[in-house]
Amino acid sequence: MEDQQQPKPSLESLLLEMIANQQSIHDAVTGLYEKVNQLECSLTGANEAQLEADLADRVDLLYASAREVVFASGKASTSYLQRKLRIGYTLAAALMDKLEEEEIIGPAVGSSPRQVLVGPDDENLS
Amino acid sequence: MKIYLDIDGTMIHEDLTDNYGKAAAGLEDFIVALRRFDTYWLTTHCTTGDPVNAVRIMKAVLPELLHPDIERIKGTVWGEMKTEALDWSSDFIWFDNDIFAAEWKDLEKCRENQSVVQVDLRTNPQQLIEITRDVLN
Repeated sequence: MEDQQQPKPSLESLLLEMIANQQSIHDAVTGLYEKVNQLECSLTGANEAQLEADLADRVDLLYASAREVVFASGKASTSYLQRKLRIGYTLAAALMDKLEEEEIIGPAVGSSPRQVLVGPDDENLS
Repeated sequence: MKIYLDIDGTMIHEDLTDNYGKAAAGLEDFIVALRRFDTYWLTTHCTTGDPVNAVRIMKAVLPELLHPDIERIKGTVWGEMKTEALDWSSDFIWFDNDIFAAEWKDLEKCRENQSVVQVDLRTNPQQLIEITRDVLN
């Protein structure tokens, strides 16, 4: 008796199956991240909007000090602000963003130092 | 000035990408810049004062020329919080990517010239270059 051979799956169907598997793994991981985020929020009693508002408040509070640090040293980096203001990375990065928005410092260009665009006596400074 | 060093996520990438396990950009210059400082491990690879595991991990990602620089870094003893190992009577900078809330709380007692610099290689893969230029010089 001849063996009944299963038809070989086409390359296309194999590829489609692989893509579907990858998508389901991606969805599972994304779902897991969302659950962890929700759990963190429920533990701290905070939500994303609140955390962003808190960060914005802290940026406003420290912005003048960050600007002074940059003017005094001519150095503008997240690491240097952390060292001088004794703050964490997220807040230092947000302060760097605001310094850039206010055109106190130039944009990041690879690993080169950020340019300090104005001095402390610049009359356009608010 | 004392320097305290975490390893994973600070000097070696731990993000689950192609970078995993690789040295951070600028690590060699960072290690050379540390020669001027009294330097200590502050990593889960060294909690009992014996630096052997930290030294082994770092040697694997650094050229042989820099191995003596790794061997001179001293071990620390700590249990639940890394802040237990800090010498509060001295100036220090602690480099770490993952600082617990209780450790941040403890760090509130930092005086001038005592600080932590949080490293985030995921969003700022050039951070060691920045640290060597702006913090250690």
